Amino acid sequence: MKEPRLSPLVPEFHPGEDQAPDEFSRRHFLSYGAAALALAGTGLGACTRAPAEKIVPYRVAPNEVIPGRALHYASASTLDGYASGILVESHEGRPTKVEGNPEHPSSLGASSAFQQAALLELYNPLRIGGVSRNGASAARSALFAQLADIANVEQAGRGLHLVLPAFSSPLLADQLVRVRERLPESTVHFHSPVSRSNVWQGAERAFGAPLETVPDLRRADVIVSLGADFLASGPDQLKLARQFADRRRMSSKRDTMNRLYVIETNPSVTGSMADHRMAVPPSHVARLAAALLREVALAQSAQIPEQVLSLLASEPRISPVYSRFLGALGRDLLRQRASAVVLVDARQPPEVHAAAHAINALLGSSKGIIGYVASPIVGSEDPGFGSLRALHDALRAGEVRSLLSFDSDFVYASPASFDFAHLLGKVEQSISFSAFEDATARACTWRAPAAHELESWLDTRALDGTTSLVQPLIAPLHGGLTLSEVFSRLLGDNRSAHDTLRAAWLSKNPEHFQQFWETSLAHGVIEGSASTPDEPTLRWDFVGDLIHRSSVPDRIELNLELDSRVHDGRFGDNPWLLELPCPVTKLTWGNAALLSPELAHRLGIVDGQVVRLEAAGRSAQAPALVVPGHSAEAVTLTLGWGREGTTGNAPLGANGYALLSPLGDPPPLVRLVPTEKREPLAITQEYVSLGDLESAIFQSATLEEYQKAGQIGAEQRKKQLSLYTSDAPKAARQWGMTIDLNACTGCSACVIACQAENNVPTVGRDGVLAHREMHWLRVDRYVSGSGSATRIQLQPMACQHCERAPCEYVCPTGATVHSSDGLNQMIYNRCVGTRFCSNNCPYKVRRFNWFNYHTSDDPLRELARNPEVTVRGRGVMEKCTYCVQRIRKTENLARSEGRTLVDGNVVTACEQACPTRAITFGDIDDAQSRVALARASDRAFNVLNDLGAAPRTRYLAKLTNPNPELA
Amino acid sequence: MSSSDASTSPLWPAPDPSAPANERALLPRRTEPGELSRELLGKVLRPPRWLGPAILVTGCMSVLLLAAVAYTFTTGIGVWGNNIPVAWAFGITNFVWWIGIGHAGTFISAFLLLFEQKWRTSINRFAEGMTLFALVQAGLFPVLHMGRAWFFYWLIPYPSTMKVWPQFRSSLTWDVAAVSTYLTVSVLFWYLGLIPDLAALRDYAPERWRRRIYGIFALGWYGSAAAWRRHRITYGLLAALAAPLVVSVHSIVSMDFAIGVLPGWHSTLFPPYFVAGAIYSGFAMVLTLMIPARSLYRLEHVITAAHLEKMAKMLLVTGLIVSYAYVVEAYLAWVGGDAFERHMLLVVRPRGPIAPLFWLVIACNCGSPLALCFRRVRQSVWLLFALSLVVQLGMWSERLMLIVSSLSADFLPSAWHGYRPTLVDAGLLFGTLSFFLFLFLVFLRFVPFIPVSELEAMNHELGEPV
Repeated sequence: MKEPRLSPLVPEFHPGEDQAPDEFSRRHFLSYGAAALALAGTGLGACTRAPAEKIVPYRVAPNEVIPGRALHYASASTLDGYASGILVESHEGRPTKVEGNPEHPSSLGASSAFQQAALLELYNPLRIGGVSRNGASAARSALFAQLADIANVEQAGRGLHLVLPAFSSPLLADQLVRVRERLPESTVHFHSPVSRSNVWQGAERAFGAPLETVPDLRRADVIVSLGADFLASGPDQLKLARQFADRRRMSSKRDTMNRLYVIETNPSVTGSMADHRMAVPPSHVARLAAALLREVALAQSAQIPEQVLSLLASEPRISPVYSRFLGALGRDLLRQRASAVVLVDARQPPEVHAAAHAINALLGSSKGIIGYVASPIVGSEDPGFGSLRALHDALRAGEVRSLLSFDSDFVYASPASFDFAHLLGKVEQSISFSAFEDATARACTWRAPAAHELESWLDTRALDGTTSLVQPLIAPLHGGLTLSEVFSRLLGDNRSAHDTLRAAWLSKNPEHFQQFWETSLAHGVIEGSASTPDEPTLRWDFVGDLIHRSSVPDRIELNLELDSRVHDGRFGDNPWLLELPCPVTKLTWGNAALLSPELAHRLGIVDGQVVRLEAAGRSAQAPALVVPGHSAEAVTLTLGWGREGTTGNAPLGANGYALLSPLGDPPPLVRLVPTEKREPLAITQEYVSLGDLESAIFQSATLEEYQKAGQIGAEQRKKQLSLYTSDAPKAARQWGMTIDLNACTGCSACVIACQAENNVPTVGRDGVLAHREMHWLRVDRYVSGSGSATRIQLQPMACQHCERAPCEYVCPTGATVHSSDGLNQMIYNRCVGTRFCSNNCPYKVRRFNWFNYHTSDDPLRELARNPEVTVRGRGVMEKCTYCVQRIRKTENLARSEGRTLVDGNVVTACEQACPTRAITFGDIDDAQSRVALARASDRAFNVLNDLGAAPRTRYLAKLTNPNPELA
Repeated sequence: MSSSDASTSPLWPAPDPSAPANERALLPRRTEPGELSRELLGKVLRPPRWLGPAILVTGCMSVLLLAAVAYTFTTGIGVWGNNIPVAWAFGITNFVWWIGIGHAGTFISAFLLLFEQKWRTSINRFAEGMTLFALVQAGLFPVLHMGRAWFFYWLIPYPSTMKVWPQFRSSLTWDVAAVSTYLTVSVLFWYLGLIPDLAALRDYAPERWRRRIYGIFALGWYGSAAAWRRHRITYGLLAALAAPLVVSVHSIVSMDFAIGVLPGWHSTLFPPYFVAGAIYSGFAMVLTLMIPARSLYRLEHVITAAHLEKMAKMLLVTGLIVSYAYVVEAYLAWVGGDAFERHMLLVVRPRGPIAPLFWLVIACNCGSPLALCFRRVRQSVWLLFALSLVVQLGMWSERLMLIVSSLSADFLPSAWHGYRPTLVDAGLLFGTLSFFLFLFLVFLRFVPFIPVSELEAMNHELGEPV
């Protein structure tokens, strides 16, 4: 039934407000009286006066702006050139929150931690404020004159080198072609510290073209990852995570579930989801890929040329440790055939990618569940993509007269032996466009601001080719330029980025352009722009190279990875990401030399001990961190840390680029030299073992056990006895949440989403060391087993909104109370900060403002705050509210529009960001709601059920689907 | 003593020549009436030379407390070492410890008065003073440890215009009632006992200004039989009021932990266990203060070896009760079968990172008092002094160990974290110690710290000098 509008039975005002705001009441009389008195006091007695501030209202209010109501705009965010759609919330013209765009195939409504944190990037007070030359500020016109000068047609771009980031934009591609036509002698270098060049080259070897692999994991029964952390990194991570989780939801025990094998060096988010995981050093992956190819090929010999078969058969046997695993894996693949897929880490050599393509082709999945599309990245056909060796050689030879770098900190993010900082000194004119004063900006003569994505007009493409228009949410805060504007200047064109973009698309769609433009902007995707899948044929000539790729004998290998928080270093100034615990190690504010317990024991290294990594004459120092489940023959260092700070602070972490080989060759051997120095590691979680507490905290089972028993956590289904009966009033809706541990990958996007939504402060490295991080939502990590049998379990943990909350009865001032719709509320104004509630919280999810964390904020950074959430002051407790501001906003909106709330109307920030939809929120009293159904699942359990606190957040047990052969 | 004798009152007994020898040992030197008063009051009017500098030094050291408090107030609780999960540590430890120390004073003055224990006479003023000053220290911490200390009054039930009341299910609200009641009764009790002695000082003081000041505080006491009678009745009534407080206050303090759900806190054992521990640490503090004071003021004939031995016996008894509580606590965890409780009592405390503190507690609180089984130890003044310090260290550590261990490893291992105090934490602890000593020395300087009139009465009761 439709809710009647303003019916006398529906309370007109909020509980607590007992009269219309306009009526003059006793309260009003008193408050006006007091205000008048206070005004008289300040006006007459004290001669202080608030500083005059001009408030400028809209002179002509835009039609769509209603003050206090947020607007959402579709756009796209790009990482390493690959786009993913976003929706940006805007309050009175300032972007305040980033969400995924449900209509974008690469986002499906989810967003990553990087996308969430883009907001803080935009408002970062450290961004470059204006143009400067040799350290002195310069006029923009001077910069434009300089740009016109280096683009002098008579010179034809001789001696001009452009360093560009990877991009997929059709507009930029077109502009680049024209720049090259105009300046034929100029050279373009794409900078990509860890490029996907091997992926494209692998496809080149296997199919003869740089194709991207687009698997449909919803149809995959067996997934094999050769080092690929496809659930938490890479261009299509959000979509792949969703599709992977869709096959793990198990709404009943009759559902089927996929099986994931992961062969990797350093435990990743994907590794934590694996049913079978094997830890190997990086160079062994090639051998294992060859062996797997042989397993599959020998069973499919009819499809394979004779000499390839004999080559494969000649492949030396792999070690018996691996052969049992690989044998079982091979048989499993052959059983599933076309519903099995092999995915490979981008850093693996091209032959390994080619081998995976061959396996997929032999199994038949390449014709079914995998689509192959041309790479959207401009320049992907270039075998040297991403490497700056050519630039280095040109600089050494003194051939570079002028250099233009856009948004690529190549001086830092390149092998340290290139020593670009020094070489750039010889270049006459070097221009750097960047967001921050990074190493490249410091080394260049011209330093200019680059526009943030949320300030830009652009177009960009996703992995599958889907094109989106990027629209600005705010005018460039620091007058930054987009790459298209820079290209325009080089082409002698002064049009704005908007005009250029519009003109480019107008030429493609002259008919109904306005409609096309507006629809595309509104939806965030250009309809029908996805690439058509290729049907490539396999070539076998890579096999020789594959089997000749020898693995490194019995030494410690170096594994350099992209970081889950700062990526290649580009997010190194973003406090949200710096303080985001690494999903697996829980390390914040730095990186560490990650090594296995076995290796640490052998070398006598303990956590926090500084070790020197020496590889081929290069070295770096980092504190060691023992990671259960890491390969015993390798040491991992993530890239992107140890930057000379743009803040003037000491660099955070160790610089992995110091160890990067200038040749881009396979992982070098490394010598680990322990030193006497210790460095404390800012880790948010020290204890990782559950022991006999496991059944109370993290329930899990194998698929077989679950199907046999029919349910998990049977002991929790019994009615709990209690002395207390609740006579609290119950509202019509009862909010609750479930978290499906079988779908949750632990990627931590929700953590940043929560931080962005709820104005959660960061506390810095010292704060984390003192164990005072403020995250309302954290992801707990538990580890059991050892070696390749190490099991990593990740569990998001926030306020459980207990129905009989232990925190509530111990608060002396009643600052934490229960609402009638089941929320455990925190009344900041009433909190005196005894912290008893935190002590009594069994989940330890309450956070205390030890200092006034917010006052130190820069006024610019304040713009990132959500105006709908209170900013908490010093001495006050805070915690997850189930996004109460979203609940109330949605309720009020529904009431004013005279409609009833339906399931899915209220979405919490964590739920909205979650790539796998592991989090479900809703009304548990509505029997048909998703959350009620999930709570009734036979996998549902309460964490710490025996305490009788009756938590409103319920978890669904994790399942594993092991291969019976390996069990 | 014959109750049929109409000329004597139970409140003012006649001399009893048959008083047992052990009571006589409490005042070995019989004196003429007034002689003892002159001697003891003289110690207040003509203080020893060391006292002034000692007050100055402890006063200066108390500035440390002021500095630590000011820093905490202006900057935030973050200057302490507390964290999440260990949101309480030094602050609450100090609170519980200081308030426990107070208990021995009330126990001596009220309980022993009601049980007509004569040996309380020489030491009760001392002990009461100690109670008050310990309460002053204790009272600082609940306010200080709040995130927004300026709103501390929200814990007090007062008719606010917003019609909000404290949340009465919280033990912190009970704490406010218990501690403020305790403070009020302690002050009244102490001051009531002091009135006759202040009057005596008024009468003895050589200078006019001193007579004036003591006169004001003596509230016009003139020592009539009627006044003495009312005084005695009121004193007895207040003692009857104070005695249950000895049990109730620390029981309620213990509920700051016992009403929580944490393993190692959630136990019905806590009230008696905490009361015993409080009296235990309090007796130790009495010994710590009394032994040097007795020797410096040459009071061996008033605070005799017999007094010390009785105190030592109390220390032994309360120590054994505390040890028993430890055993029961561990046994209950083992037999109860709760995995978290077991883990706390049988793994975290004896074997976890906090184990050194745990074993220090066991050694100090269970091991060391056993030495008091030997008469020779009980009679050795300086051994007793050393033991009293050991017990206080043990009891302070016990509070810290109890609080920190349960907080640092409660339910979810993901949230477990240790605790490390900061300099500000240490500053607050030593600051309150200094301030306590300062107040105590000021007390010695201006107030008759041996109940002169009561001693005179006892001198009279015990009969003529032998």
